[in-house]
Amino acid sequence: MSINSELAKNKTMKVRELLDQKRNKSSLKNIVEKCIPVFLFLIASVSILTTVGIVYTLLSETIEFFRRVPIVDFFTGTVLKPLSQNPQFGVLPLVIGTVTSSVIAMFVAAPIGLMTAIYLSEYASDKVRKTVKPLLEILAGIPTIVYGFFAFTFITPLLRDVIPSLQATNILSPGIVMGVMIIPMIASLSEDAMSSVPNSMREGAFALGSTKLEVTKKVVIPAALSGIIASFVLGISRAIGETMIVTIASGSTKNFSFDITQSMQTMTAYIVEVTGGDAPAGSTIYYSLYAVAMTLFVFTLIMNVVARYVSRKFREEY
Amino acid sequence: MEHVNQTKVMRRMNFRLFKNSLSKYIFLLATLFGLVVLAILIYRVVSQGIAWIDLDFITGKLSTQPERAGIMGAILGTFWLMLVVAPVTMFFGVGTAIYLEIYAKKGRLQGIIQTNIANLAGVPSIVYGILGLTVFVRVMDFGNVILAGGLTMSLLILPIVIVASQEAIRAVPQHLSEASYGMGATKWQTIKNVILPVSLPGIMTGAILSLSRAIGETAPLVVIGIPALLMPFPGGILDKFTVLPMQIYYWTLDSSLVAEYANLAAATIIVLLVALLILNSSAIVIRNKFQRKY
Amino acid sequence: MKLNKFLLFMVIAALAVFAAACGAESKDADKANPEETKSNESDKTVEKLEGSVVIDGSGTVYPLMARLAEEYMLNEQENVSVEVSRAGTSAGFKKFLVENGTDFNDASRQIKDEEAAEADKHGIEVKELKVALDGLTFVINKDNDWASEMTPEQLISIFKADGGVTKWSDINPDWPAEEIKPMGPNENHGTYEFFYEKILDKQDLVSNVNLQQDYSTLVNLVSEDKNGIAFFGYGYFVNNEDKLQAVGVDFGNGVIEPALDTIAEDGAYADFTRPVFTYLNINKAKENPQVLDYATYVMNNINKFAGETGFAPIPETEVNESIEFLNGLKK
Repeated sequence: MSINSELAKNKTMKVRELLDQKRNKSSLKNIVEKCIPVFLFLIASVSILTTVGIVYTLLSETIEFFRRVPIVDFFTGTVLKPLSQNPQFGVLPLVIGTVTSSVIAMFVAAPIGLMTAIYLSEYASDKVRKTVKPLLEILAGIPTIVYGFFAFTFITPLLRDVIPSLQATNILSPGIVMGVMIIPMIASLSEDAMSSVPNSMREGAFALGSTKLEVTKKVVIPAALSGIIASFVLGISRAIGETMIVTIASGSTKNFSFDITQSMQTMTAYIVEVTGGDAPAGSTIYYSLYAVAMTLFVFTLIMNVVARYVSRKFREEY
Repeated sequence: MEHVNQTKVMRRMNFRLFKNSLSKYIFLLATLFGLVVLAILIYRVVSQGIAWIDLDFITGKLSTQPERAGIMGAILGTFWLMLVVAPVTMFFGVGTAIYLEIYAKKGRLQGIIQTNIANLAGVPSIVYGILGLTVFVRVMDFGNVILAGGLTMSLLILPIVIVASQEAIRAVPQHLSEASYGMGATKWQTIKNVILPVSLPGIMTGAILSLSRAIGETAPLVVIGIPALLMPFPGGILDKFTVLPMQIYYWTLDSSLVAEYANLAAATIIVLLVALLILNSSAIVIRNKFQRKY
Repeated sequence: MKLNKFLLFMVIAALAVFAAACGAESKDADKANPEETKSNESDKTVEKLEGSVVIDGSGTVYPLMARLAEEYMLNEQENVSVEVSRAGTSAGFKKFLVENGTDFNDASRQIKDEEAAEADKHGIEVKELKVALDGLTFVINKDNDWASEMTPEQLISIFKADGGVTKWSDINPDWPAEEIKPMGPNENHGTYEFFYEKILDKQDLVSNVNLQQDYSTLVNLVSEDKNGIAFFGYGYFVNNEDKLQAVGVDFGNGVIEPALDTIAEDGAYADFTRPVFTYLNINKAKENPQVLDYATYVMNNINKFAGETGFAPIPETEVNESIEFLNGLKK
């Protein structure tokens, strides 16, 4: 008995000690527990800071630019001669270049990407899908500088055999290669949208005697349309922001024309040209860099917001 | 039976079936298009560059003379750059993901951060270059050194790392963390001892994939400014540097001056692609080997 | 989960080993070079220098300066890092004429008054070093079999805004009635400024002239366009002789082809010849021995490498003058 009570006493003491210890520990732990969310919040705010940083740097220098060059001249000017004795800073040649290259890219990427998505989602067996998708991911993972090299040293000479009037640097070749680069993105996003169309809908159409093509055309694509359109918009946004391919393969001609056999400069390529290694600070050209970057930033931002809006707002819920 | 004209239906049906089977091959062709271009690209680059790859090319210094040019400086530059990018993005990426997934209350603030990250992911890389040039190179006055380049690249891939880490954390089964809470563990203990270890393979996979994006990225570095000829090897994060994609860029540009430069560019592309292949396959290995099913 | 930590550890360990291995390798590479060193003057006991020399500026002069920088690092001072960039003459000056700017600025034209004023403002002493002679070369497509010889006036009429020439047949009725595609380097380049100021005498260029940032683009454009004509430094032509042909210019005493022996200060091609320079920041040269040492090296070896990069050498007396000046900076 006495041994037992001794033991019990011992135990209670231990528990009490443990509780004390625990209290001491837990106060430290409490501090940790309280500090960590704050700390993590600070970390998370880096992404906000990045946005603020981008907007602030672009905006402040852009405002300085518009003090020197009237904003209307910038957005309506068709002549861009930044280095000339009488410099002119019309952004439209760059906008034309950017839009043209993106349109060419989408001519390649939209149909092929969509058809790839249809094949993978509706026709391909599991095994084929499992081999093809990673291969397409490789296509998406190839650095853009490699595509630039490919456009410049392979696609351009190839196209020149077909179109003799094509210049050595032109907007067509980088546009096409950019399209190839975007295919995997459109294919994968569209395929996601199509696979999420419930099978019951397909089966219903099959039961009415439709062929697979008809099911795809009349049921799957309409049902997945918001996702498909979103993928196109994101593809355009990607094409607008693409830099190295157009820099290498499209040269630096700032013409206000729609001739795709000629060299055209995009907004991104202009930024590369002006920085030219390291832009001299303080000159009007230097500030034009920020105005163009701001335009580019706003362009792509709108595209991304539109893509998210489309895919959310018009999503058919089943 | 009057209403159904058997032959007419048959004819129409045949046409529909023909269209159906034809379209299948068109879709297949479209799918193959991307793969064929990939094959041509790789064949083209390898056939042009493989003869130029030897030990001297890999371990040698840059040179204006094609026959003695080497890319060790660019390899080390890439390596040092990753030594900055990897820890910085892991720290901020995983930290942000934990905050958003576990601590942040579902509400406005969380929504703003989340939307902001999605928008950042869509910002063209060259804009990050301008940010880096202004903030790291000029304002903080690092100059065009590895640290400035690495921090710029980190900002560029941070959104990708955050989203990948969020997904990995979200994939941790609820019952595991609940068991941990049930044992009296605090939130942080649960994160440290349960959630992070379980989601680590997923996080690592995402981080490695985004690193491979940073390795191949050129535009931000062009903006920051990398010398066209830089022979000494970098030895620290405050040294000037060049990386593989920059070398490809300069050699491609100069290929009309010295024809062999195009071959050097192709050879450098092979090295770059092999590096990316190794990285990506290690990501896949990690995903397959260590991803547990619960 | 221990496996994961182990894996992580392994990755870090592997990286560390790789870094160490690379470090070792670089030392080996450095050691591998000395046998080449002997080729240079052996009379001076070379003191080991380190630090960096930063060069920017003209793309025309870049091949020559990059070549020299490479030889210097391989054979003279392996611990000095010479970085050569090529933003263009004007852009280069903007980086040269600031505090903590570049050490050298390569230039394919002389420094302008406003640039010199900028230097005074920042208290930068600048020394002009003439490094070589370059012949402004007009190039046309290989298939162009009519315009391989022209007079300066004809060339100017192609590039001048109101020259009255848009087709080849406007110059000579026997030539094809096809539109001429004039091209050149853009305003970033001293080559452009030399052409605009010295040859066009500051008259406007035709509006359809295609001005490019990269010389390589021009080479491509002309080599693939039968009606293209471009101007740039002789060096860029020499490197592409298989793709382009140069226009022989008739200055009045017969047709002169641009070549190393005609591009001299009193050579037959002199009217289209210009000197190219590198500008040295004297303050930097006084502070940093490696900058001065490199400048001296450049002047000592400049004529050795001028020819192979497509420049004509400058007279020895001018070289010696520059070297004397540089020696005067040494303490």
